[in-house]
Amino acid sequence: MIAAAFIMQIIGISLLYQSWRKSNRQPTANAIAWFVIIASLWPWQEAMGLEYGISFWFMGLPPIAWVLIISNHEFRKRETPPRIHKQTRPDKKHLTHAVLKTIIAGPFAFMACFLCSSMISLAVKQSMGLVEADQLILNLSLLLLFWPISIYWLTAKPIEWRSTFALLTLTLSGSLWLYG
Amino acid sequence: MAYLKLSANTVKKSVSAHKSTALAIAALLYLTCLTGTLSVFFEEFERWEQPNIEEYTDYTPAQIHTAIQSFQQRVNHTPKTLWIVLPTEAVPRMHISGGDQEWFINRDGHLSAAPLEAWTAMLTKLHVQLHLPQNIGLILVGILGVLLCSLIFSGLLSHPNIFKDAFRWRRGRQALTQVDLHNRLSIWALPFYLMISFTGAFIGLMGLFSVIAGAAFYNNNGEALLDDIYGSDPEVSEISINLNINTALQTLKSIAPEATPIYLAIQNMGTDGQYFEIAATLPQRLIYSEIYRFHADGSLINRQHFSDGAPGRQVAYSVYRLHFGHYAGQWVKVIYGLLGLALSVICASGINIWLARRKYESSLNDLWVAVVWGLPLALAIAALFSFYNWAPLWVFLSTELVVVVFALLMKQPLKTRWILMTCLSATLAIIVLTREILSFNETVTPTFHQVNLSILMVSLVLGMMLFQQRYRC
Repeated sequence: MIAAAFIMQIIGISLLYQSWRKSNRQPTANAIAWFVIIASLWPWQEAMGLEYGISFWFMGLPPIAWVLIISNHEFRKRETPPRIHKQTRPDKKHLTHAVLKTIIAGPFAFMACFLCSSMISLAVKQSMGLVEADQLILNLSLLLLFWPISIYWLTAKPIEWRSTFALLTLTLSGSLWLYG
Repeated sequence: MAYLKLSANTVKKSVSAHKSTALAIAALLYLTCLTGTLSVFFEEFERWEQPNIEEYTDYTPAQIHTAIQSFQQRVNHTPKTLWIVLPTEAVPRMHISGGDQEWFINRDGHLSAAPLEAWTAMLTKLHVQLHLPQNIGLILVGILGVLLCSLIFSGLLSHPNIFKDAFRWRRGRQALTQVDLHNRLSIWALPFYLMISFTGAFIGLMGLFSVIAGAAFYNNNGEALLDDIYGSDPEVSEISINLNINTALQTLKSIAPEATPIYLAIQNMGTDGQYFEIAATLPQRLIYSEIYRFHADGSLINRQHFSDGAPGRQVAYSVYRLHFGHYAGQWVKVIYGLLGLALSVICASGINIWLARRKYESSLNDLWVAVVWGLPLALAIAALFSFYNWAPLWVFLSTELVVVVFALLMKQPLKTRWILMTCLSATLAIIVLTREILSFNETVTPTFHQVNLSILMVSLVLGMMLFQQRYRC
């Protein structure tokens, strides 16, 4: 079963690769390739159980694709190295800006996301009758989903007042609701 | 292949977010990825550091009782909890631990050497908490997990052609090679990286979450919150001072024949509330273990329902093995090692791309080479000196400091990289040689030679890379 699963993954990615090599787009070939790749999940979970099967399915894909990528490598003529002017300034401005933005994004985004995830998990708990453990893990999982996205939102522009203001408002109102 | 339809504005914003976040955390993230990759094999490294400990996979209740008696004779106080870690296929060694004191157990039940607090301990502590105070370090590493999630998200949105170029690898031009390496390694293992960052953040931030959610929903009682997630201590109704481990193991075999015990914990030892827990792995399950609780006389109290309780509890106890790669045998560790190495390469190549796109070089180029090649070199030198009982953390920090100063003085990143790679390759070969010489007359386990062989292979691969670079130049 494991061999069948792995062979199906190889076939699926090879089909995807063959389709990719052709100059015109091939929606049917792509669809078949993705179907075979997804279908390989079945023999994986039959052989290893659902939890191991899913993890093996995910881990099987990259090595196969990387083998195809290595086989497909192309050499480009090496360009003449441009003249580099050695500067002594250590890019302080750029680095400081980057570090500050990320530091500010962290705590703001964290509290705002904790509020959102708490509200959603409590609402789900009340509507679906979840037990405490499920509500808390849902709360933490949503927090770990929202927080990276809001960090992205905050850091996406040099100065983004809208996202900063929104997260600050959420943080303050959330803190009042939760701890006030 | 499908195309991601992204507006130019979204791509521009995403590139900005990706760059800002990556620049802020690059060195710490690289360190965490590199140490995490090595930590996957911490069990093998521990066996390699102490190769002459007796190894076996079978044990008896009588052996456990002898070990407990030997432990009590050796220490002058009774610990609140006594742990007996049972031998498994992955780590065929048995040890007993009560607080700060810990010893391996021989086949006859008597105690042997204490586990070394050496290089492997330094490595795992560096990964888990960056050698900072435990809570701060764990939270910081958890936040790195969140930022890695954010990087994955912004990285995906920064590359509208990421699927179009899914199989492309252009070599020859340094900048293009780095871009393709970064993108191809990223896209194909994206679910794995998301899983690693999510589980890492989950483990690191559970403590912080219990504090803030405890304050919000449990009247500042974080313990009550953790009890709701993981389960609380049992009520002990039958008081007995004598432990009957044999009955407990028999009971476990009858109620869960497929369970493999991994450790035994005696709680509230020597008191009226004494009971013990047997943690056991279940086949094809990612949960760290199911925990079966027994009265001291061996009768079953209950189990903690990690395997069949609330889905939240099952998820909470599944993140550990999923993050460590400690399930389904040795091959999973190898794949985790490869994918972890790929993630480290992604960190390094990402900053390489940013450096290559600048019109000039600065001390950052030198510093980045010192980070990328200096950290593995510092880890290798720390391992080498730990054989002579030098404190590995200080050797690691001193070496990294020397490398940074050296790189800044050299002001030639390419040459510095070549020198550091040469030093790393040579150090790895010296480690193998030294380890074999030091253990020449000792009886060692096969794992010892397997780890040495693996290190030697890494040294040779580095040597080949060096040769290739020299030849091309």
